[in-house]
Amino acid sequence: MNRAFIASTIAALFLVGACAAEDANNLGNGPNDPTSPADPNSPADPNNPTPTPSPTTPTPPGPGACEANPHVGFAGTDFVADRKPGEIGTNRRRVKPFTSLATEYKRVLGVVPAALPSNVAAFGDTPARWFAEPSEGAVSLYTSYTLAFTTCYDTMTGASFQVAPTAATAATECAALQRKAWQRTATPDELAACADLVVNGNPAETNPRRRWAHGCASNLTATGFTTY
Amino acid sequence: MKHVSRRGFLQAMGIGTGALVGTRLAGSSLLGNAYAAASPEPTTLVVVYLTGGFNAIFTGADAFTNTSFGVTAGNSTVIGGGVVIDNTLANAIPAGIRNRVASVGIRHGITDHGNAERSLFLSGNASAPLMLADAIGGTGAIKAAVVGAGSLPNGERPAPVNGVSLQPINDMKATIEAIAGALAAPNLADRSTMAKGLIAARTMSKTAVAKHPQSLVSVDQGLQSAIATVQKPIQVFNQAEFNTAYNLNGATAVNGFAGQMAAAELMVRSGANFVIAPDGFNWDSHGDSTGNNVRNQMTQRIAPALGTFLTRMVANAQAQTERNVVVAIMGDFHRSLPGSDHQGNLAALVIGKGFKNATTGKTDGNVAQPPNTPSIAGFWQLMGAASKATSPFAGANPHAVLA
Repeated sequence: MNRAFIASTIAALFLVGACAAEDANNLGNGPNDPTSPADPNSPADPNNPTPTPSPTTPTPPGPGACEANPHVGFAGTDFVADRKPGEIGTNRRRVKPFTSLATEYKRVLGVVPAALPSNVAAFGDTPARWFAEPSEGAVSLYTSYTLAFTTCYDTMTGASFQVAPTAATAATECAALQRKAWQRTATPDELAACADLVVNGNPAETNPRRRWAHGCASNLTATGFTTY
Repeated sequence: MKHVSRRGFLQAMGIGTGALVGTRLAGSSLLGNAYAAASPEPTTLVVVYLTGGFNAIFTGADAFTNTSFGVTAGNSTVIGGGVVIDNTLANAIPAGIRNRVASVGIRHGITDHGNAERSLFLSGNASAPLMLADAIGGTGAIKAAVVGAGSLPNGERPAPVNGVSLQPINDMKATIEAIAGALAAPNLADRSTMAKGLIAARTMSKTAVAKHPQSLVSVDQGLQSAIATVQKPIQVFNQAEFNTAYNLNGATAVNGFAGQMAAAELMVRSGANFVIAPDGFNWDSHGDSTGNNVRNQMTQRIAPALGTFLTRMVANAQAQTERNVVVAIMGDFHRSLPGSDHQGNLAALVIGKGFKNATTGKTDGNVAQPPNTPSIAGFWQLMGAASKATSPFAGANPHAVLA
């Protein structure tokens, strides 16, 4: 019996080790990962400590390569039979809970939006001692944008935000904000969306800070900031 | 060759036959969906969902008079057309619309909560309420809403139907601001640029949403609805009006039934086509053989705000000319005898200007319904007919006697 136990333990450790190695190889290969080869900015990113993977990097195994063993219960029902193996790395991002937003805004903008506490219900009240997976909706995203706009406007007091944006200054400021807010370098499309909004969103606006604040609020309403 | 099962074949035949009959009943031609018509007036289905169960004393009390659930002639009200309901619910229905109350049988044969809560809102694999909200059309930015919760019962988050998604409404103040816009100030966002900012945010979120389509499903749906909301002309609502009407005591969070009904009214008036107000899991009333538990809950939790809502949105003369609001009160299933456990059927109480006093699938003294009582599909076919839009549900309305 001892021999069987030791053998099964070794086998289990081997399987766990294989899965762990696989996970280490495949975790975070998304566009939000600074080490991602899918991120076209990755090689030039000074914050990226990992060299770009060589072309010889092994191809990740297909979905289901490391499935769990069956768990057969009473009546012969396999409790994990309906688990569908998905692509590795997908559906891992989640909406940040409301409780994390104060420190997140402070990290990016230096202050917590004054109206944040009074807007807790807009994000969905969770009763004490209960857990509900955070999710977004039209009202919570509207609220996110308005909170961010006000806080961005109030904190964008630097000289660079007192003058109307140009394509060059918008690209520079957007890139810096996105890097800070999203903790990764934006892709060219993402950078272009921000810069275009700042430059062309409301060119008739006579208060340049408001144009910058819209760009800032937009970045803080995108998944780069609202999810993790 | 594509596999055709017997069930699939029969379903296809049913759809074909139903479509013929259904379009005829709806007054449309046989030209199909390309010519589908929206509702002729602003129309909203409001579901009051009593999670856990719905005692039959609220839809057919006369079956139990002097025998079960503590029903007597004195604590039930004859509404008319065979509809007899417990006083605690009857008292919430304004006298002027009691002739617009019907009881709809749903013989679904389901006795477990999760399955019932999931199945009651499905039409095939699609979300029945979102199909209906899409078919009704209209101008509302948010066409389907759940008030005071984040999802349908059982935590179901339905996939959108033609871009119509279910949006959570959890705060009156924030929702009114989103619909009406904030005051003008240098540090407050203007709606036209905000719309562009939200569009940019959606563009910047595209890659993440594509890679995480399930875990971030609410993000893309929310951004889409938020963009639509700020692009609409503003509608002005007064928070104080709701506060007074529903006795909210200044609270703006939608975390009680009064708040849910206030939010339901807000969504009706802002153009939503489907609103669900799920009450918490308080209605799984095992052992309540006298019915007193559910009577107390109906009196204390539900009736006051429901009465206010019905008065303002259904009975009010102006509301009757401005819109068609259908209220359906229902739950997972009826409570069985003798112990108030799980019965494999249900009747919903429906109220609206398109109904008349009648019952289908009338419950008997054993909480049973006639074998030919329609199931869940029949309920949605009735709702489709009541909306007066081209029904998105295949098959004729089997409850034609009610409308």
